[in-house]
This record gives sequence, C-alpha cells and structure tokens, in this order.
Amino acid sequence: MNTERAEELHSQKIDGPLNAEEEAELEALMKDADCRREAAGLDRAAELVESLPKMKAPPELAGAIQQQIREQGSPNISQPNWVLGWIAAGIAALLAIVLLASRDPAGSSKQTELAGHEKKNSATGSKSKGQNEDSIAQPGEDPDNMAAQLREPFHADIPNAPNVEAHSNTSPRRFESGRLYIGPRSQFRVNEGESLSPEHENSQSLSDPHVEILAKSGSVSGVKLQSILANVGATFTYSRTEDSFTFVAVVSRNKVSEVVERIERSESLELKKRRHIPNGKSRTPTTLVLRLNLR
Amino acid sequence: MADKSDEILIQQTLKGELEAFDELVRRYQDRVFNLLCRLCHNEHDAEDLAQGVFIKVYDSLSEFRGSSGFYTWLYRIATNAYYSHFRHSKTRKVIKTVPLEVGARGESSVGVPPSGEFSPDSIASSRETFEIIQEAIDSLSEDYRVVVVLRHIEQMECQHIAEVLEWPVGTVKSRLHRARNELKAKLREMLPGFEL
Repeated sequence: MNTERAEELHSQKIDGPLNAEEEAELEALMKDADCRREAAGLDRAAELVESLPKMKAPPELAGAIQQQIREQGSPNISQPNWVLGWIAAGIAALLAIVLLASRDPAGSSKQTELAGHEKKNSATGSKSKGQNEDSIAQPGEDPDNMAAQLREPFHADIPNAPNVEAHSNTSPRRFESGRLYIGPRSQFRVNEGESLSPEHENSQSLSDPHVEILAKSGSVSGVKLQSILANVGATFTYSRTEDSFTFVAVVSRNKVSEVVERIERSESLELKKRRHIPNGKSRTPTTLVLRLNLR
Repeated sequence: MADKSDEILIQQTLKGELEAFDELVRRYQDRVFNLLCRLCHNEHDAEDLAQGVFIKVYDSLSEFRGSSGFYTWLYRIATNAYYSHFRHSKTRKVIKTVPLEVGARGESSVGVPPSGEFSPDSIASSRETFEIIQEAIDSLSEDYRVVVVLRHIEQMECQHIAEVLEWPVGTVKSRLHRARNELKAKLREMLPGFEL
C-alpha cells in the first residue's frame, strides 16, 4: 500500500511540483527501500522512453504532400451555417421554379444538373457535367467481359474470396436489384424495393475501371493497402476471411501508376502479378489487376 | 518564409499561397513523423499517416480558429489519425524501425554508450535496447501509449496533452501514472540491467 502511494506521488512529481503536504508525505515514504526502488523504476522507465532517437521524415514526404495539395487546389473555405442555410434555401427555391416551369423530361434533366448530381447518361454512357473523367467506365468497353477477365485468374487461388458478381452497367444510378456495388464505405447489394441513402449515389458498379487487389493474409498488408488506396482517393472495399483480405477498388486512371509505385515501395506488400487491361482507344491502362503476397 | 509565424503562414495558405503551406509542412513534418513512428512502430504506416494528416490539415485550415496553437491542433489531428489507424488494425504486426540518428553525439546517454564509444557492437546493442523500449511502448493500450509518447517523447506538459487529446488534465495525469507503471513492469521484465 505504501509503495503504491509512493509511486502515485512520485509519478505526480515527474509531471509537476507537489504541494508541501504531499512533498512531506513522499519524503516520509521514501525512507522505505521498496518505495525508493519503485520510484526509481518509474524514473528509469521515463528516462528510457526519452532516450529513443528522433525519427526524421523521409525526404519524399514533403514532395508527396506538395503534389497532392497542388492537384487538389485551394483549401476549402468553410462558410458560416447561416450562409449555407441561405444558399440551400436559394437552391431549393430555384429548383421549385424550374420544376413548376417545366414538367417535361428535359426539364427534369436540368434539375439534376442544377442539383449537382453526377450522373451518367444511361443511353450513351457519356458523362454529365462534373463527373470525374478518370474514374468511370469507358464508352464501348464491355463491362461484363472486363469484370470476368478481372475475376477469373484469382478465384482459384483464394477459395474464400467473395463472389463478385458481373453485371451490366448502363445506368449506375438506377440500382438494379441483386447487383453488387461499391460505395465509399461499403460494398452492397441492392434488394428489391430497398431505399438507398444519398451516400449510395456516389457508389460505382464493379464494371467500372477498377483495381482488384488480392492480398493473402496479414492485417498489416490490409491496413497498408487501405492507406495506399485512401491516399489516392480510391473508392474501395474489402472483405476479410480467416486468412485473406480481398480488396476491390475503383482507382482513377491517372492514379494507377502511383498505386503500383507505393505497393512496390512497401515492405509489407509484394507485387506478384500485374495485368493491364487497356482502354481500346488510347491504349492507356485503365484497369489493373494486382496480386499481392505478404513479404 | 522560414521566419514567418504559423499564423501568417496559415493566412497566406488560405489566400492560395501554397508555398506557405509547404513551409508549415517543412516545419512540422519531422515531429509529426516521429510521433506517428513511435505510436505505430512502422515507418511506412507513419509516412502514409503523416501525409494524410497534412492533407487533412490543409483541407480543414479554414476551420482552425486559433483558440489553441497550430501545433496543438496539428497534434490533435495526428493523434486522431493514429486512433483511426489503430482501430482499423485489429492485430498489428511489428515491422522494426531503424532509428536514423543512432549514435549521434550529444544524444541522451541512456541505452547508448558514452560519447566517443560508438563501436559497431555498441551501436547494435543500443539498437536492441531501443527495440525493447519501443516494444514496451507497443505493449501499452492505445490511450496509455499516446500519453506516454506525448509526454516523454514529445516532451509535452500535461496541460498541453490535455488540450491535444481534449481530456481533463486529471485524466491525463492518472493515465500517465498507470502507463508508466506498466512500462516499468514491462521493461523490468524485458530489459536486462533495467535496475541501475
């Protein structure tokens, strides 16, 4: 009991001066050899932690940050809530006017643009205003065929890999019952009559250009991959079985080489196999299949 | 640029002068990286997390109100990034880090031979000592690890730690006390010659 009290007071003393009463109590307790030993142990533990050398950031870190913020543009300027409220009210009023003025299908499509939704034209596969040019399916690609190409080589190696279903992707915003989609935080399948949250609006179907990454076992490789994919702004999800992770990610075309580079630099990941499925027009790699093993 | 205060650099960044943010990165990258290395015990994860921390800082810069120092706010974002990382890695495999400044003269002499005696053997043994200390830190729960690293590696006062973690000062002190006790027990078990 005395040693515990001595430890408590001594610990307080490491972090700041004691008052006179506590100081006197500690002094009295320190006459006991066990109390002295335990107090010295606390000092020694703190001293050893403080002896650890300082680690320096790798030279490429600053460059990577610089590059990312330059790609991103100016920092977000947050507006006071009342300003946002007025903006929202203005948009709502504008939408109401547009709705009343035009009840034809063309009018409806205008509303969509005003609301800032990013939707594909379902008939042609072309992109609406604001759509990320790098992250969606290329016109003319056969999504079913591409998805099949992606899955085939690996399922034999990972018996517990989830069944990633191939499907057509002519209209990703009209979620089809039973289809598999990948969202910012989850992979989900739509059930009949299910209502979807706004978050699902940004989901992409697995027939979009994507990286399928199979990592055999190891939470380190899983965490590392999460970090790599998050850093390039990829939409991804993963499933975990007892001994493996399966990642499915939708990565911007211009980020594919960065993903590969970061994986190659990582000590916990080893790139075993890489396969590009080129875009038929530009021959630029749009789809990448990676197989990874733990080192 | 290097002689400007953090506040001025923040204002310049918000006006679109990205060089000002580059200076903030240069100013704090080693400290953030060191903090995350000691918390994660993995240089690669620390590098990725540090990059994410600075991007988050950049994105949220307009929300920084200056009620606490930039340094405090930066550390809050860094420790939150660590907590988030920790929660995602349910089992952690330790990849050993090699200290970059082992044997630098003028460093603390604990675990390192006295100055002027940096033979390969002694450096190897000091590295082993550092590894053991790091493993003892790793063995702590995440809250204890964070307070120990902030207090004894970053040399922050308890009040400052309380601001970073948004905990009451009393909580910081009691967790520090328990963390040091656990460290002591661990190091006594793992480190020959712990008792001087």
